[in-house]
Amino acid sequence: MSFTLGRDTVTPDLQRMMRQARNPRPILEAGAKVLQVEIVKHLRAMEARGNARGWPSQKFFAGGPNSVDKRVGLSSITDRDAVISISDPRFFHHVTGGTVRPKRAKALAIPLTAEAARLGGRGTLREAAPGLQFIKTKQGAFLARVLGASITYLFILLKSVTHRPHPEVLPDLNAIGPRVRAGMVRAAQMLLRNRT
Amino acid sequence: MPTNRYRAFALDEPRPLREAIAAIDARTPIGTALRSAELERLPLAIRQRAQFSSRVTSVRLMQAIQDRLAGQMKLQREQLANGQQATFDRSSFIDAIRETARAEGVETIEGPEDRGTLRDIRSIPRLGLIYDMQQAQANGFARYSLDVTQGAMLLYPAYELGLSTAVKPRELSEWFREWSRACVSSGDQRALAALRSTGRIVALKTSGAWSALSRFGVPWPPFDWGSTRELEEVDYDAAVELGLLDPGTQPAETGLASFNDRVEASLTSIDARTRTWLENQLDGIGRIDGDAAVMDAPPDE
Repeated sequence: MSFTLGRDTVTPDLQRMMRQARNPRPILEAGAKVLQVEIVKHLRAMEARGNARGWPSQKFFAGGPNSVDKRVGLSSITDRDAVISISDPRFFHHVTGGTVRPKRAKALAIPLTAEAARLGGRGTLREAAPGLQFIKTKQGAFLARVLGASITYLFILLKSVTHRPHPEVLPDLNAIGPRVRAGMVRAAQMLLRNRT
Repeated sequence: MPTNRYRAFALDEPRPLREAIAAIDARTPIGTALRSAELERLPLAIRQRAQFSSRVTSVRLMQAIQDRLAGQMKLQREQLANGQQATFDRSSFIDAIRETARAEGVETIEGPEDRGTLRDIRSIPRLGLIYDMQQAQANGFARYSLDVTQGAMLLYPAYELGLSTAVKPRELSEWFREWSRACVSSGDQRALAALRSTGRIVALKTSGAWSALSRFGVPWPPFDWGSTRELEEVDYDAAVELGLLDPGTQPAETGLASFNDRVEASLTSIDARTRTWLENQLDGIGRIDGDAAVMDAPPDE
């Protein structure tokens, strides 16, 4: 997901200030920085909502080493525009939704418990959670931990999963826009003041 | 004038972060028999430009690590043997590198007790750590590159060390002690004064104290193995209030240039004894040429 901050799309006042500043790039840099700060703030708010099932947080949006908030940054910048990107295909999929099918295995292992959810991202389940047994029932195929007569179903195995779109995880651009512009105006004023 | 008429930005698909790619692409895969503690002694220039891992002598394995990390940063898709394409992720990184390590016969353990631990290059914890750290370093460099631009410095000239999200955070007193040491060694009296008067770990983004705080010698997080503390933005007015900037002054925007200078200087400032040790360690993989570290191209195995 990327956001283009264009010199041609800012307010006339800001355009005038950018023309006055001999080098307009710092003003775009300021706008890009405010945008990045606001997106990260938004992602942290998403993370703070917690897991819908009450499972421990996977830190998808923020707070973990591979969270989406770590991948928000500058994709490109010129004197005309700056592109800030949430450079994470997982986030893009979360927003748009869609069907996921297994690529590297025969089935997708969907966690059924908090313990199973914690096993994600650690290589194949055969190695991350050795000893799980494949069990087929009328309800479907499962990976389970079997201890004597006790069976704990940890994953259900599926051929595909369709996620619904979550546009609500996108930051509110109408709310962020004025903050970005205010930051750009302030930066422009500081630059112009320094020139006089 | 309606505020939503000039939204100032248009929405599009995700794009790679330019500087994160640059950080990964700047690295040359090398094999080394050195251990972690010895690798930490290497000058910053080499640590920033070489792709290595403790006791992994196989260049081919390091090349595989480099290729997968670069592929993910560039948002490329992997061509699978079954003809399908898939995105790179942490789980597939661990699987693929374990498979390569097995195929290449690469071992880093010294005894059976090391199997499955961080000493074992085939273990999930070790490969997970490599993935997490490399991603964090590349993304950290990307963010720092934006943060120290002139425009960003005008609005947010300083950082504050953020809160820990670890289950068992390190004592704050340890960070205070480390920060005091970092302020003194970098000569940042203003940051030291701010710590004493407010109890806050704050400094200008261009302060050398951030690099001095880091175990890895770079001014972005993570600052130590396993550290979850991030850097929070401190705006101009707050930076003035904290005494980090004089009122009315424009913050210097020397950040990235200053960091690059320090990377270069890390080779010029080593003493003769260290230089000899370093040349011995680099034997076969690179050399010190004047004040530059030249990494040789990986040989075909």
